[in-house]
Amino acid sequence: MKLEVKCAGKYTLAEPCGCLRMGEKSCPGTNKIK
Amino acid sequence: MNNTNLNTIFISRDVFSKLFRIDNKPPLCVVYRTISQIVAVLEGDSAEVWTRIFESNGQFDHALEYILNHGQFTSDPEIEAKQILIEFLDSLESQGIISSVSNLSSCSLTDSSGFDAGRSTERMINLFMADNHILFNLVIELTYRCNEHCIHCYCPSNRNRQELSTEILCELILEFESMGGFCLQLTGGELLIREDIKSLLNFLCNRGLVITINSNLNLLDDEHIDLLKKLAPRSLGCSIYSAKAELHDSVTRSPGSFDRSIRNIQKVREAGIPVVIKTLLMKHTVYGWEDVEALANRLDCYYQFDLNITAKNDGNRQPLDLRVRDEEIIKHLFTTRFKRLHQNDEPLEKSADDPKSTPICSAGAAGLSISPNGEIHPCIGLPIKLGRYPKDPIEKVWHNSPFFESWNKLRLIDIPMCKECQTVADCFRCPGAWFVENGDVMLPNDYTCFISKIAAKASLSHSLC
Repeated sequence: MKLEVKCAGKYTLAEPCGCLRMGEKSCPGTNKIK
Repeated sequence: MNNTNLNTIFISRDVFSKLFRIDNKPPLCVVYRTISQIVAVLEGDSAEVWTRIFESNGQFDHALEYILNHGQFTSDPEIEAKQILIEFLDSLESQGIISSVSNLSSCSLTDSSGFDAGRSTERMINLFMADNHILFNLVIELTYRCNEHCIHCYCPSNRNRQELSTEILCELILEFESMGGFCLQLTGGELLIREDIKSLLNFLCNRGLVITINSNLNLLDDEHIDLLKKLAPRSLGCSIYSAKAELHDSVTRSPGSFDRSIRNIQKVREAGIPVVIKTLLMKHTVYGWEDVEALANRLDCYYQFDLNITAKNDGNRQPLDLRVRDEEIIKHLFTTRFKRLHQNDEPLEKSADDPKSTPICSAGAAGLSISPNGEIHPCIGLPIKLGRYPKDPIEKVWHNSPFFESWNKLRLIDIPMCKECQTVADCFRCPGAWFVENGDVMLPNDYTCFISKIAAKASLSHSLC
C-alpha cells in the first residue's frame, strides 16, 4: 500500500468560492465586492 | 519521523478535512489548512487513513488497523504497516498539512511565493464536486442591515426585511453539512449587526467548516476576535475604498468608518487571521488604487480590487453611474496589478481553448446562496429564486430544481452578442450582473464588453513588449 498526497498547494485568497468550473479567469459574481 | 514519535501528532485547529464517498469511485478527501493557506486532496486508501488520523485527533490506532486490514505485506505486517504510516506522515508534513510542533503562526499574506500556479488543487476539487453534483459551497447573506450606507451597494434599498432566526440558520448549516457542504461564506449587509452573531459564530466553531467572512469590522469587539481565532477562517474580507480616510468615509457615508476598519484589521491580523482588503473601484476612487494596495501591504493583508459595480439586487440602476470609464486607468490596472497576478505571482485561470463552447458561468455548479429571508439562489450574484428556506429544504432544491440542468447546457455561443465577439477570451462576464441590470442573463451589459476590450488590448500590448 502506497499512501500519498494526491495534490496540494498554497491557495490564493482571491477566490473564496473556488468557482472555477468553466475555465474562467475568475468569477466576478461569487467574488462580488461590496 | 521515526518510530519513537509514532504516538500522536499535532493537528492544528486550522486544519479542516472532509471525506467524500461516491458510489463506484475511490473516496476523496479535501483538506484545508487555513492559517497557512494550504489545500490538499487525498484519494483512496490515503483518504481513508488520513481521515482516521484526523478524526481521532492525531492518534494512529485506527489508521494502523486500516493499513493492516487492507495492505499486502511480505514479512512482518505490523512493522511494514508502521513504516507505511511513517512515510505517509512525512509526506503530510512536507506538504504542510501537519506539523511536528504546535505552531500556529500566521503566514505573511503579502508573500506571493509558493502559490499553486495553476490552481490545480482547488480546480480539481470543484470539478469533482460539480461533476458529482455535491453542494460544496454555500453563501449565506445573514442580513441586509448595515451600519454603513455605501453609495454603490448592491443590496436592496429596503434593508429591514425578514431574517432567518438563529435556530433556522443552524438547521440550514447542519443540512448543508449533511449534503457534503464544506466551504461556507458569511456576508451581509454587515453581519456583526445581527444580535445573535456571537451565538452563530460559537455554533460554527464546532462544525469543522472552512469559513469565509465579509465584514467592515466597525462593530468588532474582543469577544468577536476570540471567536474568530477559534473559527480559523479561510479569510476575512474587509472593504476599504481609499487610503484616504475622508474619501473612504464619503463612500460609506459613515464618519470614522475608515479609522475603525483599519484599527480592527490590525487587531484581526495580530490574531493571525488572514485578511483580504477589498476595493470596489469607482470613477472617483480608482486613481488611488495603488495607495490602497500599499496600505494592504503595510497591514500585511492580501489585496483585491474589482471594477464590477452592479445594479442593486432589486433592479435599481443608480450604482452604475459610479463605474470607472477611464480607459487609461483600467489599462494601467490590467498591465500592472492584474498582469502580475495573471502571469507571475498567482496565475489566474486561463480561458479554455475554445471559450465560446464553455458554460456561460458556474452558478449552481457546486454551490448555492441564501438571502437573509431564506430565498435560495444559484449564486450571490444571480438572484434567481429557486426556493425559500425553510419551507423548501435545500436538499430538495438542489436535487429537484430544473434550473441546474438548463443552466449547465448554456454556452457562450448561445448568446448572440458573444457568438461573434473577438475578445471573449478576455471577458469578465457575470450573467448575474446582466440579470439585475437588464433582466436577462443572456443580454450582456455594455460595461462587460467595454472592460473586455481593454483587457484584450492590454494583453496584446504586454505580449508585444
